[in-house]
Amino acid sequence: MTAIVKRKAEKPPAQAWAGMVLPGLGHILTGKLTTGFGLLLIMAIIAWAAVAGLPTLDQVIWPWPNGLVRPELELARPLSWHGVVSIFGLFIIAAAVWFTAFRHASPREQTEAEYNSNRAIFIRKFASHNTGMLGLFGVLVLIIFVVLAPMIAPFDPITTGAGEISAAPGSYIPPGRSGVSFTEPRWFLMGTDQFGRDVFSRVLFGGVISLTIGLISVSLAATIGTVLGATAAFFGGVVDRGIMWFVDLLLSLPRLVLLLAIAGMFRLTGTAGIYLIVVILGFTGWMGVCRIVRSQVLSLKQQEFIQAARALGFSSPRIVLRHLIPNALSPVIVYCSLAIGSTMLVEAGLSFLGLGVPQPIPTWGNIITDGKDSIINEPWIAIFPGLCIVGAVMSLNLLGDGLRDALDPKLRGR
Amino acid sequence: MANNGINASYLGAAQLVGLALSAVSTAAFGFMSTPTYVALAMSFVVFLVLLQSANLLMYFLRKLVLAIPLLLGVCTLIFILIELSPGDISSKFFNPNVTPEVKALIEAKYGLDRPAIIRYGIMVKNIVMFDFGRSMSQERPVFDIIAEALPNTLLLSAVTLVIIFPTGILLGTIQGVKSGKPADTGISISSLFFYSMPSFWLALMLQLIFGTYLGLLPFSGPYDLNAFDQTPWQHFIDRCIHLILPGLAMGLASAAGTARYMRSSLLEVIRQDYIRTARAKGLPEGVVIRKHALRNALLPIITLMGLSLPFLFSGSVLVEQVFAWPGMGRTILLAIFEQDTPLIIASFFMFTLVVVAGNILADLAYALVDPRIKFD
Repeated sequence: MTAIVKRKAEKPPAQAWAGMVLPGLGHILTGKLTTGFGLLLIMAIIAWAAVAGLPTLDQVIWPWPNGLVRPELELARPLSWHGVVSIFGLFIIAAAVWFTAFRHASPREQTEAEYNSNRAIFIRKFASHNTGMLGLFGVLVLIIFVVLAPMIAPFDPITTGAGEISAAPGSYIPPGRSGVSFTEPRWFLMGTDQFGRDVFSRVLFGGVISLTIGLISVSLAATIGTVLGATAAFFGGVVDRGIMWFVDLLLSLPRLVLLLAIAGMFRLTGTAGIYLIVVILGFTGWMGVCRIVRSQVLSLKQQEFIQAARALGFSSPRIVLRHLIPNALSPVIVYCSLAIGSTMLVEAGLSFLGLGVPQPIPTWGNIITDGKDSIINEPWIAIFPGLCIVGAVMSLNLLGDGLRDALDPKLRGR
Repeated sequence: MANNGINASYLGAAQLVGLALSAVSTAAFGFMSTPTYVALAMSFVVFLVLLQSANLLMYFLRKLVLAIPLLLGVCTLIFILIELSPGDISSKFFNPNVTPEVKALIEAKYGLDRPAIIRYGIMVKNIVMFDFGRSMSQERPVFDIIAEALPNTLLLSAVTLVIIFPTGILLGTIQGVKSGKPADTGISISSLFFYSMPSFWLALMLQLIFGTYLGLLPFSGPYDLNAFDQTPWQHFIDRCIHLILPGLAMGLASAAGTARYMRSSLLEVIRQDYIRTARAKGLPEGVVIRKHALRNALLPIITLMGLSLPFLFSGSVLVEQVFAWPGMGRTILLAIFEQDTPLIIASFFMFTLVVVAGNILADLAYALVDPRIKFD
């Protein structure tokens, strides 16, 4: 039995308004020191990145095909659209931190209806889910590293000769050693590979590519799957049977094999290769979403509110888009958070086989391939990207499990 | 339901005899030989007849018939992909300066001069006859290539299954019994760790640790380089040792998945009323778990076994690449890189065949062990 809890209306303490000025300040003034200083730290990192990184952003990394130089030189070039995306991401992260900090520092009045709303229950359940929160934390760290990669990466990930060939992790290379062309001392956190490229920088940018591919292709897959699944369930009959037969056909081959067939036939070089992989992964990953949405919509279709919508004379697209799909989405969200992880694994596998993202562009799978042939002498090339994959996929899986537990209405009583 | 009177252990014994027969014929006549097929098929028919179940036979046959359009669909899909792919397949056989006559000759040799629809027809005919034509890159019958590669992958998959299921079931049971305790959390986290790991990276790390640093196990390959000097017994041991690392690399992630599945399945069962009844009767907890809970919790795992076969096969593509294992995975990759159309189609056909077989076996096994399922 759950006791009826009523939340007392609290006035936000006057100090909490300080959070408006700077996130974290309100927490510190009201005595929540750890959270406050944590928030301040995050804001400091973002601010540092914005101040230090943005002016050089596009020269640092973004014009992919031209080779990547890190000149404190020519600042004249206009920002590429990659740079715009990156700045925008930074801005959104900052805004989100700001907003949550303010909300969090100032407890508002909450009526009982609000307290028992689905959203409030979901937030409370997720916040008390330890491994789920751990996963969320991991994913946030990953996102911050990915967005800030151009500013964190010490060297260029693509041009060769950032350091000595095959330097061990933690190597300190003084200037003037034979075979190196740089004039300042350099330090390599994760060592360098066979071409003298800094593994740490490559792993960072590999993360950018891997995570972006995962996110975009899963969004693509979710869109295709939702539309087709809802269509199949809503119209039924021949449409349903046709779509589901195709789903069964595609599911009858393991995904990696299907991908081998497509990626093996169409191979592109350069940036086009990345887009190709995104599209291929999207078009081979929608079947699970399709099945989920179909079953959800089939059960929702029988309920009264859909009959009411029909009785009101709403059009089919309106019923599907405004009534059926929003109600069918929560298992899709869970599925997607798990699918990003598995998509990243598949992408790594494809790149490992040489059928994924083409070579000089780093992805985690690609870097492991680089390390495969010299695994005995230079194991660090393969070890670090692998650890990154494990960490990222594990965080995403934990997050997905947490979301599932928090969203599952069947578990609500407990 | 007609199989109520039959005790499952007799069925298991009959099946074992059948499998032993086919194992003996494999040893005597080699893999993929007609006697082996016959023995396998006979053991299956014996199995079904012993069931005395016309229902089950019909169910099996219907599944088989339903698989045909699926197989054809996959082959058509692959054919279309090959047709759509950019580049001229025949162009790698000659340098660009040859005369058109020579070019025409070469194209005629591989049948590339015909229109696509005719080639599609030839492909379908070949598949139906179970003769996949000649490989373009290796210049020998595709059937021979597959017959060399498939047993290696099947062997590896079998070993992996042996690793996956006992480990997964054991760990999952411990987790289910100790649910919420530190043991559960510990196993959860560590199995999630392996579950989130790319198999090829695990393979590299195993090579590094056991092959290089510890020097305990061979680094790669299916057998030792001096295999021809070994006595049969030595050769057997040698092959077993070479199977350990690839088996682990392919199996650990799936074992972790199985453990997760087993845990939730066991927790589901433990919540049932009959478990409470068994406890109320005063049965010791061990008996409740072993006799009442575990048996029911194992049902979905049996399905998982059939369904994991395709994933083992696709996982083998990555792991075989690391361990230089001459199986289907390497064959398919080689075919793709060489644009060897007949070999590509044949390998994908074999993959689909394995998947379909796995699905049918999973359905059948589930229908057999769970009397609640009806074969309608």
